[in-house]
Amino acid sequence: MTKSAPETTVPDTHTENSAIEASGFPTGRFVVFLVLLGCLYSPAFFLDPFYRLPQFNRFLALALFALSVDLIWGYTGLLSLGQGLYFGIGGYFIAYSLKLQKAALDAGNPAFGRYDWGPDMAMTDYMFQGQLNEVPLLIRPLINIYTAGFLAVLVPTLVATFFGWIVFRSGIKGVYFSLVTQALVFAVFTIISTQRSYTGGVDGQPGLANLELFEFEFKNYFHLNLVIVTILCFFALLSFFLIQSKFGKILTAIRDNEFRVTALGYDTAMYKAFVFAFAGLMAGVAGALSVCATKSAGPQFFSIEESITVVIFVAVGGRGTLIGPILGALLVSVGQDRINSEFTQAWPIILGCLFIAVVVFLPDGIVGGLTRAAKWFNRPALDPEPTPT
Amino acid sequence: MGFQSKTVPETIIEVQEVTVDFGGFKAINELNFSIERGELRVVIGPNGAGKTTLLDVITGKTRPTHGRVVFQPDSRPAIDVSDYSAEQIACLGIGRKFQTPNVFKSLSVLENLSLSLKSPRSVFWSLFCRDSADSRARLQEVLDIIGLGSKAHQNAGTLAHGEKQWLELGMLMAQDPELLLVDEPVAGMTPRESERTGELLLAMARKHTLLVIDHDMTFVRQIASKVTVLHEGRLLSQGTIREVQENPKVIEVYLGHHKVAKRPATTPQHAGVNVLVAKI
Ligand SMILES: Nc1ncnc2c1ncn2[C@@H]1O[C@H](COP(=O)(O)OP(=O)(O)OP(=O)(O)O)[C@@H](O)[C@H]1O
Ligand SMILES: [Mg+2]
Repeated sequence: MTKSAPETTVPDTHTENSAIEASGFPTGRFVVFLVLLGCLYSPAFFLDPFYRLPQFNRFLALALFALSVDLIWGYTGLLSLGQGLYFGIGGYFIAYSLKLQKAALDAGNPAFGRYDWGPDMAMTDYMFQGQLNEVPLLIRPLINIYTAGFLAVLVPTLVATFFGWIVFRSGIKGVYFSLVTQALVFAVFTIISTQRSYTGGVDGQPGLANLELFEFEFKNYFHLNLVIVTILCFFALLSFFLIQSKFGKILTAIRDNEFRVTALGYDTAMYKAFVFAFAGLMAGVAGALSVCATKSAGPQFFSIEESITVVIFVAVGGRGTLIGPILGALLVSVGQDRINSEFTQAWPIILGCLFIAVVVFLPDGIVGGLTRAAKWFNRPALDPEPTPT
Repeated sequence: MGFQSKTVPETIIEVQEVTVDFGGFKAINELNFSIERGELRVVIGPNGAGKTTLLDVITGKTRPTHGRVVFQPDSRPAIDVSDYSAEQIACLGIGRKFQTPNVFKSLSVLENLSLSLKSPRSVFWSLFCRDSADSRARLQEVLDIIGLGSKAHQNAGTLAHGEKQWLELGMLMAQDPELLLVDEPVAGMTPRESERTGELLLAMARKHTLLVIDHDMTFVRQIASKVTVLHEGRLLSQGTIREVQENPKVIEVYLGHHKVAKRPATTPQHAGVNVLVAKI
């Protein structure tokens, strides 16, 4: 961190060389980022542990979801209006697991352990009502939380990879891309909400068991909070390094001018498919965490509204920044909660107005606006600074 | 393949009977055209002559309606470019500077150059690589040549028009392809800047094959050995700059434009035409 002499007039080769070296890693920004992430651990210590804390846990899961959308929209310029698909898939795997566990616990059959499965395992309430004779074969193994957790990560990633590969290979871009993503999530929404005896239909899967991992039951929302914040921080840091790498620069380049990237010899479809798959993975994890936090899952995960709301989180917080989507998700969700408790119907209208206001007045969101304000305040102060050694 | 390098074929790119038809309008019409390895070729022609379209065809952005383009990389078998995607063609060694500056505006100058550096293009590599000492030295060298060293960390979007042109040339240098296609490198530059650009292109021509498109005859005079004139998608004339300027067909094509363009305040491109006519 040696500050070189002010290089205003004649830039000789030596100072420029040091400029290239210094370009490696933005240590300052990284430290700020770490501190801000660290702050996410603090609300758990003063929030009401039975009502506010589980809510906050859900907002954190939504923050992770928003972060995934930011990678593809904010950084790469791919506006997906169907990320709820990956969130929902991840969430439903965990929901099946916890629902079957709940049924097994309620049935209290001593021959069955918590994770045992077979033809005569306990059915869930919606399976009874749907007059199924037994738990469908493919759903049975999901009672094991490790299997379900693994699939909650793997399946969204695979679906996103497959979908991204096809869409990007065939050169679908811009509005068409947004429409295709939306059509897909809508199709899945229709299936989930009509196949009641297999999915719980429009009621979804409420009343889930507590998450239990390695014989440790998360009865206490405080412990769950630690897990969720840690996972969020892990993915935020991973995203930070991703964005800093050459890969991240190529994503930004694709957003700026995709054709130019092709002319440099990069296969942009591969890059887009990769980041889309990674975002799918993150969304899947976010869905899984959200289900653990609220102990319920529902077809609204796959609703178009859900997918658009998360885009609004990113727009409000600041697209193309990593703190922005986290901040946006937390602020808008808290706002939604407050407003919903006062006037139940008003929220969609307010959300729409908020979106328009952000697009018009703060096109780069809260974080972008703050950055600009900081620059504006710093400029006159920095210039006359004599830079003593 | 290694055996072939002894007998490097002379022609690096050959455009054979190429027609590009945009819904009835032939931007390029049965064009035959080739460039030898190591040559610096200038292509001129009035607006709409099909010059940019020719580059689009060579780089795989536009597919020819008829005909084919054969590219002969050094020490590799010749290829028909229409069998390859645009990014594969770029990897095989054809680089391009676009007519309008086409830089990544939210990346810094240095990042723009670093993405262009000759290096593997795979996702895996981009995730885990770091720029080696060699490539950093190369970046520094390019920065010095294009004179943007003091703006290395500035966003490319904030550069002046001329600086963006230079940055794009720098990206070409970093990319280091065998064949460089340069579309109007001095558009919007002052005479002083355009002279420096000419020197730069001449320097690049020592190691590469260049195809340069331009209107500005002072500039063409500075760099050209051989000039090709396109008009309405056809090859009108080809030869040294003197031969081309004395060709009655060329004079007519340019004079026709000249009469229209003489009186009003001239755009840079028309100014180029005026210069040509003045020199004739
Ligand atoms: N995609 C396209 N669709 C239809 N017409 C096109 C297309 N691209 C180019 N043209 C037309 O083809 C003709 C040749 O265009 P081109 O850009 O190659 O000209 P140019 O020689 O580069 O001219 P300039 O000096 O203005 O750059 C023009 O009349 C243009 O309008
Ligand atoms: Mg052109």
